Amino acid sequence: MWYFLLLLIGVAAAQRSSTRESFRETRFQYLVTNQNLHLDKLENDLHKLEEEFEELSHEPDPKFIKQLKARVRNLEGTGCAKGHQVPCGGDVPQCINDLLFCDGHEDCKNGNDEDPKRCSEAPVHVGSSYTGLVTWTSCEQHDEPHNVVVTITSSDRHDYFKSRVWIRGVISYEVDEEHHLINTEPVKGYYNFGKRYLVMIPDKSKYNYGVTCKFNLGDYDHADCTIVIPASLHECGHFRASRY
Amino acid sequence: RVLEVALRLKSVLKMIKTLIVLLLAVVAVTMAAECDTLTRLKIKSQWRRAYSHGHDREDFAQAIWRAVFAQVPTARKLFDKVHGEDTTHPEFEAHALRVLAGFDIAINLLDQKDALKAELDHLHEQHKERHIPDNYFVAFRTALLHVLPAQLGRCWDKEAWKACYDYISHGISHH
Repeated sequence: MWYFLLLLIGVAAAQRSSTRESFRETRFQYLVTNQNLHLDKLENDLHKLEEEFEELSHEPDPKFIKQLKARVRNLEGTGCAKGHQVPCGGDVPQCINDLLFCDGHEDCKNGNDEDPKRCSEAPVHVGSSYTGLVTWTSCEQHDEPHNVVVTITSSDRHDYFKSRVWIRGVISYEVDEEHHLINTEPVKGYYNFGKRYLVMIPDKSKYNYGVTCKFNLGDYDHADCTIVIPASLHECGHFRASRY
Repeated sequence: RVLEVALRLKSVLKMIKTLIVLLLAVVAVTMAAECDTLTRLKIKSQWRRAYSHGHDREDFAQAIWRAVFAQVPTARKLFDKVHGEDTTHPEFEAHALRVLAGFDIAINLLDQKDALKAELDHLHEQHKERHIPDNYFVAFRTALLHVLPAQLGRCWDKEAWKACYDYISHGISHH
C-alpha cells in the first residue's frame, strides 16, 4: 500500500516537472519569436528609410565634378604669359615653359610638371580615335553638322626630348551625308604635355585640313577640337570630340 | 576637222604634261635642300621666332642642352667650368645663352657671306683647342631639330635646317 502511494507521488512529480519544462520551453520560444518580430520591424523601417534615401538625388559623378572644375578653370584663365608659358597648378601659382614639361626634370616648385597624370600618354596612344560633329563655319559649305573622326596611327617619343610626342594620324570627314562620301587625309603633328594640346597638319600639301585639340575638359576622353587651315590656323569648323 | 582639233588638243595636253613633269623635277631639285639663298632667309626668319626672348629664350636654351646631354652624357665634362653637371645652375644657364648668342650671330649673317666667314672662323678658333668629337655636333643638331619644331609648331622646314646647320657646324669644326 505504502509502496503504491509512493509510486503515485513519484509519477505526479514527474508529470508536474515535465509540464513545467514544456511551459518554459514555450515561454522561451515566445520570447525569441518576439525578438525576431522586433528585428523584422526594424529591418522594415530601415528598408523604408533606404527607399526614401534612394529617392533623393545621387551624389554627382567625380568625373562630372572634374569636368565642371575644368570648365571653371578655363574661364579663370591661366595667369601665364601668352605663348609657351603654362601654369604648374597647385596652391602656389607658377608658370613654366611647356618645353620643360614631362622631360624627367622637375622644374615646377611643386614638381607638378612631372606629375604622372599630366604626363599621361593616353591622348596619343596608337589607335586613339576621337569623333564629333563638326559645325563648319568656313572652308566647306554645309548647312548641317557633319561627322568627323580623328585617329592616331603612330606615335613616337624620344628619350632625349620627352616633352613632345610626335604623331601621325588620319582625319576623316563626311562631305556628303546622302551618299556617305568621306574624305580621308593623312596628318602628322605632335602632342604637347604642358598645354595638353594636340596639333596635326596635312602630311602633304595637296591635302586641305589640319586639326587641333585641347584636352582641357578634365579628362583625356574629351577634347575641344577645331579643323583648321594649316598655314594660318584659320578655323574652318569646330567639334567637341569624345574618345571612342 | 573634229579629228584634227582633237589630235591637236591631245598634243597640247602632252606638252602640258611634259611641262608639268619638268616643273616637278625642278621643284624636287630645289626641295632636296641645300643651304642656298632662299633657304638661308627661311632659316633666319624661323630662327628669329624660335630664339624668342626673355624667359622663353632661357627655356629654349635649357631644352636644347638637356637634349644634348641626354644623348651624349660625356659631353658634360667639356662644361665643367660652367657647372655642366646641373643645367639649371645660373652659370650654366648663362653659358647656354652665350652659345645660342654665337649661333644667333652665325644665323643672322647667313645672308652676308664675308661676315659669316669671319664669324665662323672666329668660332672655329674658339672650339679648336677643345677637341670636340664630331658626334657632339651631331647631338647638338639632333637636339636642335627636335626642340625647334616644339618651339615653332607647324611652320618650320626640317630639310632647310639640316642643310644650314650642317653648313654652320662644318664652318666651326672644319670636319
